[in-house]
Amino acid sequence: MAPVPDDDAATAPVGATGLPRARAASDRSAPPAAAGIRWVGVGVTLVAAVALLLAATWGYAALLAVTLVLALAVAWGWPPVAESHTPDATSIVLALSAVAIVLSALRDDLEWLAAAVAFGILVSFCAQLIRPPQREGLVLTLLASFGGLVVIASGTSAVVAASSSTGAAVAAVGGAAVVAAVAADLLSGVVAGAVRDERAAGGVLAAVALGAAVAGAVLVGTRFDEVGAGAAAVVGAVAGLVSWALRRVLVLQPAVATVRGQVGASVASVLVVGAVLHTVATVLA
Amino acid sequence: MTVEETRAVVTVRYWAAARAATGVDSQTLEVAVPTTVGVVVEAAVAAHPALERVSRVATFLLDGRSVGRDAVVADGASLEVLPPFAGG
Repeated sequence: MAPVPDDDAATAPVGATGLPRARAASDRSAPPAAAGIRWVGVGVTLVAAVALLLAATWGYAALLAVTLVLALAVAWGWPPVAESHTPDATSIVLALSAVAIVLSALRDDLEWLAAAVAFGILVSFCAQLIRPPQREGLVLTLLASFGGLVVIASGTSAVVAASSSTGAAVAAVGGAAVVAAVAADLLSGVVAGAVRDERAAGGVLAAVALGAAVAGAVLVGTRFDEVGAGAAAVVGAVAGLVSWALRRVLVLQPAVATVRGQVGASVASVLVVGAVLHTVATVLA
Repeated sequence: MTVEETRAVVTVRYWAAARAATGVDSQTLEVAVPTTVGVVVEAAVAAHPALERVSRVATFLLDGRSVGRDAVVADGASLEVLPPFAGG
C-alpha cells in the first residue's frame, strides 16, 4: 500500500473501468455536520443548562437539588473522559464526594466547601490504597478524580451564590449563556468546511459562542432587576466561552465517543461555570 | 491477474482535526484488494503518523455513507475521515 501524490478533487484518477471514480462525497465543500457532532452531548448540555436556569429561578432548594443530580452525572461520566485507569472506582469516589460537596451548600457560604473537597481528596487517595501495588496510571487516575472534584465544587459555588436574589439572577443568566453558546456546537460543521485552518476554525467558533452567549445572557438578564445589561453581558461572555471551550477541548477524547463520556463532558461544561457565577454574584452583591 | 486488478486506488478526504493532522485536504492511497476501511486508514496513518489519535475517534464516510472499519472498500471509492468537532 502506498500513498500517491496529493490530489485534489479536480484531478481524480480514472478507474479500471475507464469511468470517473465515485466523487460525490469528495466534492463537498463542507463536512456533513450531523456525522461530526456528538448529538447526545449537545442534548445533555442543553438539558443541564436549562435545568440550571429554571432551578435558579425556582429557588435555593431547587438549585441545590439540580446541582446534586448534575454532580452525580459528572461522577458517572467524567472519569473515562479524564482517562482514569479505574473509571468505575473513580465514579464511586466522585459520587461520594459529590454528595458531601453539594450538601455543603446547605450553609449559605463557602465555609464547608473546602472541607468537603478535602474529604474528596482523601477518598481519592484511599481508593488508590486498595488497588494492587502496581497501581498502573496512578497519577492520571488521581488527576481524573481531582478534576471531577474541581468541576463539582465549581458548580456548588453557584448554589451558594444563589442564596441571594442577585446570585440567583446571575445563575439564571449564566444558564442562559451556556444554552446560547451551544450555537457554536451546532455551527461547527459549517465552520469546519468554510475555514481550512483548524485553529482559525476554533477562533471563529469561539467568536460565535461569545456572541451567542452574550446575546442570550442579556436577553434573559432583562427579566431580572438585580442584573444590569452590562453585568449580564460579562456573565454571558465568560460563562458561555468557558462552557464551550471545555466541550471543544474534550471532543477528541476517546471516551467522548461513548454516551457515558458525552454525558460527563457535557454536564461538566455546565457545572464548571459555577465559579464564574459565584465571583460575579459576589462582586454585584 | 494484472497489477491493475490486485490494487485499489482510494481517495481519502480529511476534515477538521484530521486535516490539521495530515496537512492535506485529500490524497489517493493505493492498497491491495480486497481491502477494508481499516486497512485504508492504517495506510493513511502510516503516511501521516499524527493522524493516529484522531483516527481512533473519527467517523468514516465511504462514498457518503457512515461505515465501520470492517466495511469493504472498492476500487475508486471515496473515504472521508471526519473527526468529531462538537458535542463533547
